[in-house]
Amino acid sequence: MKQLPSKFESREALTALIAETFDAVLIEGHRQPSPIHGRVLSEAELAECVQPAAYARTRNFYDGAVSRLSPFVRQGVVDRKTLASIALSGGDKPAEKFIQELIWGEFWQHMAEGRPSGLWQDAEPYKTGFLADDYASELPQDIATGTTPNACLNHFIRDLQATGYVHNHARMYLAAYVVHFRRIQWQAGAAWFLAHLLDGDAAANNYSWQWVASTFGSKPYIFNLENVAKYCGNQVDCRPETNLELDASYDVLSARLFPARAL
Amino acid sequence: MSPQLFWLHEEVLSEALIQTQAAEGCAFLFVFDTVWLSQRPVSLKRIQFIFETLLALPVEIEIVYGDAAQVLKQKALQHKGLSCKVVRPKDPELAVRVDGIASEAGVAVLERSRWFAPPANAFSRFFKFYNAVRGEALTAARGRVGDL
Repeated sequence: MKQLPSKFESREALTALIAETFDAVLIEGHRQPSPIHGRVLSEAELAECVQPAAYARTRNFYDGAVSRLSPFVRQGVVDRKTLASIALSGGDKPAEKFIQELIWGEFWQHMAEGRPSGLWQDAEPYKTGFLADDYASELPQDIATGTTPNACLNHFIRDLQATGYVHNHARMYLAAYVVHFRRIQWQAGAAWFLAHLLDGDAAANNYSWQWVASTFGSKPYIFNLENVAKYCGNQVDCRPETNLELDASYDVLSARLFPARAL
Repeated sequence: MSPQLFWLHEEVLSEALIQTQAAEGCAFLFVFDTVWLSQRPVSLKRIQFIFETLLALPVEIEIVYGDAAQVLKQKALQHKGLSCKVVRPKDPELAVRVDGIASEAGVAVLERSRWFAPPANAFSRFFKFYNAVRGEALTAARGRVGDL
């Protein structure tokens, strides 16, 4: 047991203390802090982050008007009800999509409370034509290090590991890649995300991985390069020659990734 | 009056909650629980984010690294008549850990505040859940506007 100080000369001094004190329990590597600082948020800051009308139009884009408040929600700095209130102050209609997404968070919580086993166990069988045993249990090194054959995914992985935050759409791409393109158990990917995300919430994270995997949903979620280019192309390298595994139509990818399901 | 301690954990770093508890005379303790961190390993980024939030809160918080069960038991031994409380976490696995420590160390567990009451049915698809709770969620959020 060790008492920790509550005053530091600099942010670097805090980082150094954490690296030394927590060494035994931290994941390997990744000893840099996030550019996102933990802090208390004023009402004005919250109001600036919550732009429900722009959110409804642009939320799926990598540079869309998402609030980026999830790390603060996860730590209880602000709650979803407060964010819903702020969103509603501009009227019901523009707030609808934003509030729906907040309620998704409550839904995952409802699932985790009702079925806590679903945090780490398949809620349902895979609908991919494969059995759970067909999926590897370890995350491959090239994914863990952001050196996959696909430049766009490496970009998302670098964001995840350098900042502890990655856009929700990119989370879905990464999850689909891990589970369906590489045939890795969703649990390995979920644990990887939980270790890095500042907003790492087991309910939302793990059940979302299950949804992508199809163990909590009616079909597997997949994506192709054209979709990444549409939503992230102005930020991320989406050239076909640097994203060879992803550059195909959905029909071709489905047949390649789920040969038994296509029969 | 017996000493009061509010045990903070990673889900409840709310300024409003802390100010309410401070007004009731509570001191504050946050434990980076080595047992929990071993079960759910995280990056330095996450620890730093939590630590920075603790430092930004407007009360003095005792910050400890160690086995939370031992820390809480030691607190109870050091301060006769100590009344300690904690909010039950949302995360079901963290809740198991906190409940276990609470029963060992005599800590009162408070239920967390919710946006809306959970529906009676165990919905396993989002839109059924959404349709069941939407009205109450909007009403509760509208009621909150005046508080902001």
